[in-house]
Amino acid sequence: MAIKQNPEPMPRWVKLFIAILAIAVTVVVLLALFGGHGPWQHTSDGGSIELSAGRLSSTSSG
Amino acid sequence: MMMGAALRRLVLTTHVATSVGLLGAVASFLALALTGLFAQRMPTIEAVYIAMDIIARLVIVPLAFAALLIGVVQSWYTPWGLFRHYWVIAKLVLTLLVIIILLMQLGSIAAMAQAAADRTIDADGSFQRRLSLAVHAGAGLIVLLVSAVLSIYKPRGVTRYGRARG
Repeated sequence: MAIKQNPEPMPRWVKLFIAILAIAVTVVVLLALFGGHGPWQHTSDGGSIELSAGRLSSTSSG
Repeated sequence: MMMGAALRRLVLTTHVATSVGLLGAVASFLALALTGLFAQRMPTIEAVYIAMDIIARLVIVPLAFAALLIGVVQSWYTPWGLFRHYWVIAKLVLTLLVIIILLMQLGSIAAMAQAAADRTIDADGSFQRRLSLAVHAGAGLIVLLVSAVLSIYKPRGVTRYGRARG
């Protein structure tokens, strides 16, 4: 009869790492969605910072 | 396939140099970001964002990709493996996250640098973006420090794949 091996449990620090990472990613995504910090709001083509909002609205609308 | 001892040492040295260099470059970037956030004089603010753009594009991005690439090669050809130990996977995930966030921030950094070069920075109007750059740099530095700690302490834990491979 084959002996069923008990797999080594995942270390506690890995579970903690995954939990912290999940929280951090969730916070970043929520901030990006609702806090106005999304990458789509960044411009790379220069100009003044104040113009960014105008560019965003123009790219969003079409 | 394993590396010879000499090649292994060379790759390890390169990996440590790029990783520690990245840590230092991000620390410098954070110092500039905080200066840009709190400085009162406009010439200082303008100089800071132009310097930040240069550091990000010419130092941080190349070092980040080099650290990732050399780290993957190093782990693949040494007994540690890429997916055998949890700490190696954790480092890989953290480095990938840093690179993704960095690439997402490049547009914002370039926009600030361009505005600085054109002398069109509005100190009050751009406060949120300047704060965002400082926060991202601070978070990036913390993540890189965690990655360094993982490298040194190598916390225990072998993955199911690692156990299967022996």
